[in-house]
Amino acid sequence: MLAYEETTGSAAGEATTAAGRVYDKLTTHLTPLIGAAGLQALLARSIKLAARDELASLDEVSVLQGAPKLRDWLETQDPRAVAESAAVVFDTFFALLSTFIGERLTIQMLRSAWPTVEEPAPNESTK
Amino acid sequence: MKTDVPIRKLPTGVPGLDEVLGGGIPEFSFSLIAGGPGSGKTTLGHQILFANANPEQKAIYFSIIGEPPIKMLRYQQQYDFFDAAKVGNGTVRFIHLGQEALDGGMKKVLEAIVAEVERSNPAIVVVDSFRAMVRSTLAAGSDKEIELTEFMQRLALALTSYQATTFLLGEYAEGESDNAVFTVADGLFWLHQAIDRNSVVRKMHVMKMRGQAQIPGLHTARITDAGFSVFPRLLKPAEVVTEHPLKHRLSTGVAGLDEMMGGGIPSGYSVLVAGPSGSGKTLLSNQFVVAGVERGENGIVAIFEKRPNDYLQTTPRGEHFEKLVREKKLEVLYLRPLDLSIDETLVELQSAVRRLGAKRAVIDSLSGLELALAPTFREDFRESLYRMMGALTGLGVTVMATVELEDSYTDLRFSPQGIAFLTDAIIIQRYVEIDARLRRAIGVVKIRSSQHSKELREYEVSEDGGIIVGSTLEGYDGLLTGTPRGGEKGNR
Repeated sequence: MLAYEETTGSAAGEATTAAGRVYDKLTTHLTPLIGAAGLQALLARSIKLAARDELASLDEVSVLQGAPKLRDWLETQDPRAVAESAAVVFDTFFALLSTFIGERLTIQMLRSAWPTVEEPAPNESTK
Repeated sequence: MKTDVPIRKLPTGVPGLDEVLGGGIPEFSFSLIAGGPGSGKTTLGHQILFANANPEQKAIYFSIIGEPPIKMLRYQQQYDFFDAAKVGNGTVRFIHLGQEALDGGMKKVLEAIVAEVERSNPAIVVVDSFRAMVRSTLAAGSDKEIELTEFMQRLALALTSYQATTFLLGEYAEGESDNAVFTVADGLFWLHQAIDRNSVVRKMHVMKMRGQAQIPGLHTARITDAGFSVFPRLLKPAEVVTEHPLKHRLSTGVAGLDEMMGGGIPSGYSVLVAGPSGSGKTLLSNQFVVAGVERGENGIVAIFEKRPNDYLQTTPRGEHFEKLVREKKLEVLYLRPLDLSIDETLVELQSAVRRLGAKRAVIDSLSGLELALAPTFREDFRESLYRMMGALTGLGVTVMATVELEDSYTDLRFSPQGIAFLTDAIIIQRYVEIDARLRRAIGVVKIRSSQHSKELREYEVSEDGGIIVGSTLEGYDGLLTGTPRGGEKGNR
């Protein structure tokens, strides 16, 4: 998703960085489904889990205000510097979402924002 | 010219429920699904939604306050009816309005629902759950009831105007009511969980469905991996054309017994075989059903005490039974889910009869069936049996039911709890003591509208497990007392 946003640029939305655009799209496409509070809770949890992977740069992002601070942090930091951290956070987020609603449904949700995301093969779907 | 408006009925996707409703859900109706926690409201709402959603008829599931949507998606996709593809391609959309409810209450929620319905024009809408919002509104003051009524009116009007068929899900305790909602709703489904001792039986009551005649009463329901199933109290009777039952008789498979019965069992009759443990009731019922298969009449055997494998391995004709099962001429049904209902039993039997085109059915035994039933249904066992026998014979099936009857030598009973009158014919099997040996006697107590033997004849069980009826136990008095007098040795 980061690579996709890097190549498509900032044609839409307010975010100026690829990571910021990923964040905004997640918000737009997942909030109707799981609610703003639900999304914030999952992102906060993802940051917490990602920070355990010794990404020191995430220490400054408070868990309690994790998600809004995350967006600010993604937007204001040097994109090259945050690329690795952002990837870890978003990876963690998608893994967490899959844990709750399954890989297939997660990917279908993501495809609504990023049509190039591949569907899992039928024997990979969980039910 | 027919002037009344045609109302299309949408399938619910819930086995048995369309029948209860009188055909399905009226299109554009606004219905409430109510019940306590864990009664299955969310599951039922999802099942109906997925049954009807397609690319031309999109569906929206609005969640307001209650189960977090991510949890709901996690649990609901465990059911077979959940189609992830429909979620992925936008046919089914889930929209959470929790924030709108917290920020602006019912007004904001209504605005959001109406805006979305205007934008996307769904055919099916589910709103889950509005009850907490209603409670907090009513708690704010008695004048808020008007606000609630107005909300419901506007919501119902908006959704109907946009030609959506709508379901509101609401948590209500037994006996609770909500005039504002109940009055506006076209349909009202109440989901109960009846607790009786250690058993819990799910029941559904369609309290209201405007424009059509639903089957009244409480209908047993069950939730499995397939979702919700409803077992209607009154099965739709099948149109079975039968000749006069006495003109066509079915062999019991026991020549001597056929003779005692005037040629066999009249077609479409129900027969009770009563006797103590070990008297050969199961053997007789086995011979009855096998005799039918040999004449091209498929059969079903419903058992309640042994599992099918145990039954097939221990019954004397087990291998033959297995062969007939493989050839789909015979089906052995084992009905022992927890808290069984008579309606569920009937649906299973009826399905098996249709599946096999069965003409004979054995219920072995009524004693086992009674024990398998949830306590609440055991109390109405006679009524339940009455419905069951009527429903099966109404399908043109000849039914043989066994029942355990302890030998009593002081009173003459043919069934426990007085159920003998429910059947068309009764055969009794008894032990008698003659010359210090336990011997067996068989008699025909009644066959409705038909002559039959009044004799008590001796019978034996052959080496291959077949019943062989011999001659009359002549010369004895008091056979039914257990210790008869007379016989070859004269008076004792």
